[in-house]
Amino acid sequence: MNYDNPELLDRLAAEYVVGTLRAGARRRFESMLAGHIPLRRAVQRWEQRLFELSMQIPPVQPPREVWTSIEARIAPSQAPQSSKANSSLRTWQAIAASVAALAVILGTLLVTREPEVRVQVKVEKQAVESAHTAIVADATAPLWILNAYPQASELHVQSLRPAALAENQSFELWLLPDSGAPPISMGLLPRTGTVVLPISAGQLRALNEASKIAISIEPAGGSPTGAPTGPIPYTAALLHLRGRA
Amino acid sequence: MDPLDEARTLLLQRCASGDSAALRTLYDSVAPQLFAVLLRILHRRDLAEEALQEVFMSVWRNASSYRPGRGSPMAWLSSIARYRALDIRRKLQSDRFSVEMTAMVEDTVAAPDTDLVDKADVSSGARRLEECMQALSPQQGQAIRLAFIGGLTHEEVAVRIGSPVGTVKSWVRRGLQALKSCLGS
Repeated sequence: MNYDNPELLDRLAAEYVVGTLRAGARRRFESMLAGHIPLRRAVQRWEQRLFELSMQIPPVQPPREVWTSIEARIAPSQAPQSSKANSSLRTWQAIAASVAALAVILGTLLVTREPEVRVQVKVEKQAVESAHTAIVADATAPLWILNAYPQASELHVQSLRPAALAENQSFELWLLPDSGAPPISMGLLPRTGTVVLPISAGQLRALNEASKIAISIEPAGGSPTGAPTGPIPYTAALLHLRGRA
Repeated sequence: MDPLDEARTLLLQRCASGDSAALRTLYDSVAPQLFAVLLRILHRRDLAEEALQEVFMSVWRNASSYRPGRGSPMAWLSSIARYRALDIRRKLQSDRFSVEMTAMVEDTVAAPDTDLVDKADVSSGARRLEECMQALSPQQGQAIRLAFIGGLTHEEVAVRIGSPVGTVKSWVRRGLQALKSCLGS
């Protein structure tokens, strides 16, 4: 087959992404991807064109054990921080293990690595404008996405789909400080659409000192007491994208 | 950029620097959708659960290879999941298993979601794709959905629809070309 024919390559990429290449052809195609940038681009374009088809499937909550297993498997990679006390034998074992793991990772990365560092840096710079982010989800899918932009003193909150709430109630967003200090209100959440909430200097400090957020159900207009008064149906991790200030 | 895409991009970048809390947030945000994708192709919860684990291990290890300019995080993530599921499915595909699986594919896989075009909460990308899918012949659309969503081979699609394999192949091929020109890229 002539793999330099762009039309043929694009057709192969499409069939690869759809999944209709026969097993042998699929493997041959995958081995070609590593060294063939135009082919990889073609695959990425087809992935982008078609992926929404499988987003139509109603989400299904996986059992809790799946995350537990993932967590157990990624834990060893965080171990080196606390491994100073290890005997040199154990260190060497760890090095041997990570060399083996690296070989596996490199094998995988070869397929997708791309030599475009400059483009990447540019996109990253633009993207890390947001310093704190959180995705609030229920059992099946995200409900709100939060992005804090300290330079602009703004918290952007977008509702992705409406969460159930009575007419005379509001969702209120709280930061839960790591110190155990009382929750700090960040404002009311939209049921649909996007809102931009101003961030005060005090809230900005609190943003740096919290790793969890909570959403409570309050009377319309928000908590009358300054502390959560109603049920708290959602909590989420607050991610610090530039490290703590 | 769509805010959810932006957040997921940032989470992937945090994963690349070894932040397991970012992986957890990403997991909470996409695992149910990816699990559904895996279940549609594998039809067995045990296989889908194992595959979901593998998918997130792969995301954890390869997060640094995600390129925001080359597609949305969800396109990247769902592709990892789909390829993983396809590998497992193809590996397990003894004839008996294959027939069993073909029979198990629900009608919903093949039925175009006619409501989707009108739904307010779907992304503009999804709406555009759905419009282009609706513009295909019904057989082309069905064949592509069965293959892409259900993970069926040409042969399995042929059995399922009751048409010759050669015909199915050309439906898929022509359908994809029509989609490409409809989507204008």
